[in-house]
Parts: sequence; structure tokens; C-alpha cells
Amino acid sequence: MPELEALRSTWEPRGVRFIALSLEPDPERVRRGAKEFGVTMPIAIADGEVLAPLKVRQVPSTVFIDAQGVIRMTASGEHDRRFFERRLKQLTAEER
Amino acid sequence: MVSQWDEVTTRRRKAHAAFPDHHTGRLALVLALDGFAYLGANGVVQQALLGLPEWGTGATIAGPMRSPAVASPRLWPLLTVLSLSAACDVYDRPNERVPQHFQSTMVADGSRLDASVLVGAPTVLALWVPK
Repeated sequence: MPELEALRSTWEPRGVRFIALSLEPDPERVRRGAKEFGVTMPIAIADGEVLAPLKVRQVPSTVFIDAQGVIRMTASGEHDRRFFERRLKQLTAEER
Repeated sequence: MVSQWDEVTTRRRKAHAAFPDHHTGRLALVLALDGFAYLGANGVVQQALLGLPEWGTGATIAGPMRSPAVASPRLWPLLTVLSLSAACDVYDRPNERVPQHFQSTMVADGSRLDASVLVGAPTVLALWVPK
């Protein structure tokens, strides 16, 4: 998550949205956790099952969705900034 | 007293690559970030380890080189594949539309985040659970 936060300033101006999707249903705990964890991107709370619909099996995971609403890539676990940058380049290149 | 392990470990720190050890007659071969193996002078694997231990681990082992933990040269292809796979990006490509039953709620304003909202701009969803 910190790696994605760092990439927001570069990729949001290029039209990419970043959303932290919490599996914790309590908004107060989510806000507190976001503050502790340094999450500043928009936060959503999952309603019901989201792992299977988003084609991931574990948390944390990152899901890359194109502008047509198609899940292009999913990555499980933590990754470094260069990994996310490669995926973002791939995602935006496939848009063209 | 400086053991063979001390020597090999010290040299490995300096080289980080394949190099001959003239004092011991052995060759330490670093396998692409993910393991290393010690070869005897005759080219037979003396010891191969997966995953790089903390620096200095070898130095704590005194005396002559121990019996091999993984010693078969038949394992070389496996070690090579594992080493190469560690250097690759691992991710899935589902290429499937976000299903209609995916539902979530934005914390800031309580608005819906569903498949229809995810159309229009590329989106990165970071799934997490606050501690």
C-alpha cells in the first residue's frame, strides 16, 4: 500500500484511479487503520464477498481494472514500486 | 582461527558473483539472488543452499565444510529454474469483467462502488484489512 500511495502523484494525473478496498466492515476501524497505515487514497468497504469476484485469493492483493471494467491483472501480496509501475504501464498501454 | 567457511563467506561478500577460491580450491557460485552453491575442485557440488542466508551465517560455522545439505548435481536445473523464477514478476491475468455482484461502499460519502462505477477510467484496487 505505501508503494501505491507513492505512485498516485504520478499516475492519477494520467487518469488512473486508486482505491483502497477494505475487507473490515466497521468504518471507524477502517478510518483508524488508514490513519495508522498512512492510507490517503479513497477508501471503500467491501459489501459481502469480493475476493472471488475480483479473482484474488488473499489479502493484501492488488487488482488492475481497465477503463472497460475488465480485470486485467491481479497480484497477491506485497510488491515493490517497480513492480507496480510496470503493471501500471502495462494497464495504460493496453488502454490505447 | 579462520575456517574455510569464514574465507568463503568473506569472499562472497566481496564478489557477489562466481569467483575462484585459490586458498581452498573451491568455487562459490552465486545463483541469481536466490541461492548459492559451493563446488569442489572437481566440479562436483559440495553444498547448495536455496535462499540467501543473513550475512555472516557461514562465519558462525567453524571447522571444515560440512556434509552437503543438497548435493546432487541433478538438482542444478531445478535450482536454476527457481533462481530465474524469483527474478520474474508473478501475477495473474484474469481478463474478465468485474461481475455485477461486486459491491462496496465509499467511506468518504457513502456512495456505491460497483462494476458500473469501475467503467470509464483505469482503476487500481488495493485490497487490505486494517490491523
